[in-house]
Amino acid sequence: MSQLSHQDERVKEFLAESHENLCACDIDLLALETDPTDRNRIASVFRALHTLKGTCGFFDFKKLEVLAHAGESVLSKARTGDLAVTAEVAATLLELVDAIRRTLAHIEKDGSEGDEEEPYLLERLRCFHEKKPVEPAPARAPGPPSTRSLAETLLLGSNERTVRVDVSLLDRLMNLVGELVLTRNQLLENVAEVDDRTLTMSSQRLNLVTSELQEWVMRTRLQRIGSIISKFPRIVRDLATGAGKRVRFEVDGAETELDRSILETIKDPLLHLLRNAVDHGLEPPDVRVKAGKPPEGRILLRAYHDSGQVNIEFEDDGSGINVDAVLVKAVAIGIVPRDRAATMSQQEIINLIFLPGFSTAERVTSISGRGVGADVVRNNVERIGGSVELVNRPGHGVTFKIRIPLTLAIVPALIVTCRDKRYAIPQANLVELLRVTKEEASSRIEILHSWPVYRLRNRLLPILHLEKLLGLERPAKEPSQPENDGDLSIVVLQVGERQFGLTVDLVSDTQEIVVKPLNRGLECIPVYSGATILGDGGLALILDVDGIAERAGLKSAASQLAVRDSLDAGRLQRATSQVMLLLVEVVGQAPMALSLSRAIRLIELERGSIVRAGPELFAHIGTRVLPLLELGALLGSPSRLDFLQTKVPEDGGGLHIVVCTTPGDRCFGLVVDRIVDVIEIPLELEGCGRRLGVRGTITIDGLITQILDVDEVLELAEAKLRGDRSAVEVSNVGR
Amino acid sequence: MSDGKQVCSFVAGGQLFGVEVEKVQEIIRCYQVSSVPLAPPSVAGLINLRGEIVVALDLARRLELEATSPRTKSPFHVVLRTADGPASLLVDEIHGVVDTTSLAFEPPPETVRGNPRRFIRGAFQLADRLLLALDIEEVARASDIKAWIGEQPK
Repeated sequence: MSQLSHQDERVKEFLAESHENLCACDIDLLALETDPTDRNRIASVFRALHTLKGTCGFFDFKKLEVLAHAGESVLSKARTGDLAVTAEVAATLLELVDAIRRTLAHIEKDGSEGDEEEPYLLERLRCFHEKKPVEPAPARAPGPPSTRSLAETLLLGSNERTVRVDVSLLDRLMNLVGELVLTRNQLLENVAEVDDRTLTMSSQRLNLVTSELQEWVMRTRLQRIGSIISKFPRIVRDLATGAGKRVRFEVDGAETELDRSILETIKDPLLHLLRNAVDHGLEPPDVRVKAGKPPEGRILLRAYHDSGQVNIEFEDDGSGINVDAVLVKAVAIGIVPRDRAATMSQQEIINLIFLPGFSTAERVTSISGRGVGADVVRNNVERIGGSVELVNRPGHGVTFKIRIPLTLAIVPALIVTCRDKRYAIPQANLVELLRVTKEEASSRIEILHSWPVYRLRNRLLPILHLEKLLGLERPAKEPSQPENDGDLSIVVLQVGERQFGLTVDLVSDTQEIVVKPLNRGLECIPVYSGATILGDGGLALILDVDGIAERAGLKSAASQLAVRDSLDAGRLQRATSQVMLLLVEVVGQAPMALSLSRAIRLIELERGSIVRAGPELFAHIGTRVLPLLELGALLGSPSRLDFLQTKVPEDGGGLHIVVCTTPGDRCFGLVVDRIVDVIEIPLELEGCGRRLGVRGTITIDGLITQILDVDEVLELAEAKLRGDRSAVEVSNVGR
Repeated sequence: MSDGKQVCSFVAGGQLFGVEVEKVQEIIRCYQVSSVPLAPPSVAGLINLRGEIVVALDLARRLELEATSPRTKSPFHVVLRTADGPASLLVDEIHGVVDTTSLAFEPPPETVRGNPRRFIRGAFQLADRLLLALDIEEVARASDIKAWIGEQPK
């Protein structure tokens, strides 16, 4: 049913477009009668007929196709200069245009092309084409088919219900509505302060009308999603043939409309999902039959509006995602640590495929799996404030559910202040707002190397300072602004899988802002995505959260976060991504390094604050007691802490402690002699040097460096402790 | 040289400049300029020109002129009509409209050297000083700003 109405819709479009093109042909042909050498006009008529012919093939309008083809052949000769467009040729072509019009009229009436043949017209066109003498046209036999007067035929196309409008006109309209929205906002702000009933009422009316106008103007910019997926059936066919599969592609809701700019953004993600479905989702016919499914696979794209958003569902009836296989692979490539694998939920595992780099391995075929993974789909969708969800039905297929906003031109945003300037942050990127008191800040914000991180619900949140990022650092002597009393406002933002905190001076409110692009080259500053005019007429730059993460170098750092656990997952011979390593020095040992992700804090302690309780060492940190492990002693160097009890060390200096977490989230400190550096390198372990506590070695700056396995160091320490205890027990027995 | 006869003249960095009056959309004063962090120094900021966001360029800095006197507290904005839409020039003083019909038009004087030379199309001889004719398309060109941003360390 809906299939049929789509067809009707398309035929209508075709008719409207063809009438328009034919009108242009009339004008061109008339002009050619006076100037037969005008190449542009010849080309223009040629193109119009060519387009018509192409579309006819699509609808299977055979007669129209023959007519258009005949005209096209003559014009192609004329185009090369092979045939002069004499008045006779031009007149015949005009006749052709009329014949096409008559056929179109027939189609409009009952959907068929009619049985009126045009043998003489076609014969004459053929003669022009073959440069044969042309027989004079016989007088048209008067009869019912041709009783329509020319004028009547010409006017046929004019009862259209659509108007073609230049896109720039629509953009201008949208801009003006944006202005109106701003003015409305300003007015409402002012009216709120005035006690005037009539004014309040009329301003409320204005408010309503503006909102409605905004919505309708926005709708004029909408395009049917069908306009981008019309090419998909062909792509599916080619892909399926290449993969030796049989696929049926269905669309439900092709008439669902979306803003032009958004349509452009989701085109590639959809194409990617399509490739993925044909290549990996659907099984070959024989496998399908064995599984009791029809040999032909089915891909369904469903689009619909729901609560102010557009939903696009992409469904296949293939084998679904093998959750176990995903998990095995995730562990193998080091995205998931072994110990965590057992506790992950099905959905958590499925979501792994959205991680960068997941799809790159193994499944490379000629069609997909070339490194453009599901993460790209998610990134593209999230960039425009949408979301992707994956529903897996093992054995029965996969559904990707994409939700996207209707428009990008007017978005809700959070207004923040930094150094007396206001900035807008699109709400789509906003996760939460934190206010950290001065006291809390000093204890919960730690510096890992030069990177401040905030411990938020047991996660490390990298912190960026907006003023530093914008190069607006306060001179040290200048007092901080009175309104923030030393407290920090942190805006937690999300781009793709990454979250980070952005400190600002003040968080104001949220507003609907009209996004205006920057120009004159300022659009090249990556941290801004545009500017907007606020309710009071002031300007605010719109922050580009993605650009900020990039500029701060967070992107590369954060992609390591995704892989960071791989370091501790063990068995990893090669990780293609970069990792961050903390380099430490222990006297008597080759340089050592451990994954920065396991180090939560670096502290320096006075030797006096270290307490020995039997074989165990502790340090008092504030009110907490931190167990200490002496790294050197564990790995076979003589203990340097033994002299705690005997004599004061010559250097007298403090001890460096790397505070690490156990898998059970408890903390312990590794005692080292010196913290050397934090570096970022691709971790490619050399096989040698493997022993308990050391996963292998790599060469850093020409030095063989041992990579510690923190968990094994912990095991080693526990074993040693047990050994000490049993030694004590043995000696006790001996007495 | 088919220069407009009427030239709007103004002072920036101690020099007298002129732009054909038909290229000047309007002149406004005391407008609040919203600075753009990370933008080149020649960009004074953005202004809200009746709902349109317009980039304001600091003319003296754009032409690499030595600031001879401290910037006036409330500079003028000369809003220009350029091929890419309006752009504003921040200047110190407005000198009124000069009729250049009977004035001699000469190539840029030798004193204008180096990079800024491309912004000057030529000079009109006034009785007591030179009026430098600005090439506004060159002054408002986006590529310079782009290049500057591209050169900044990340």
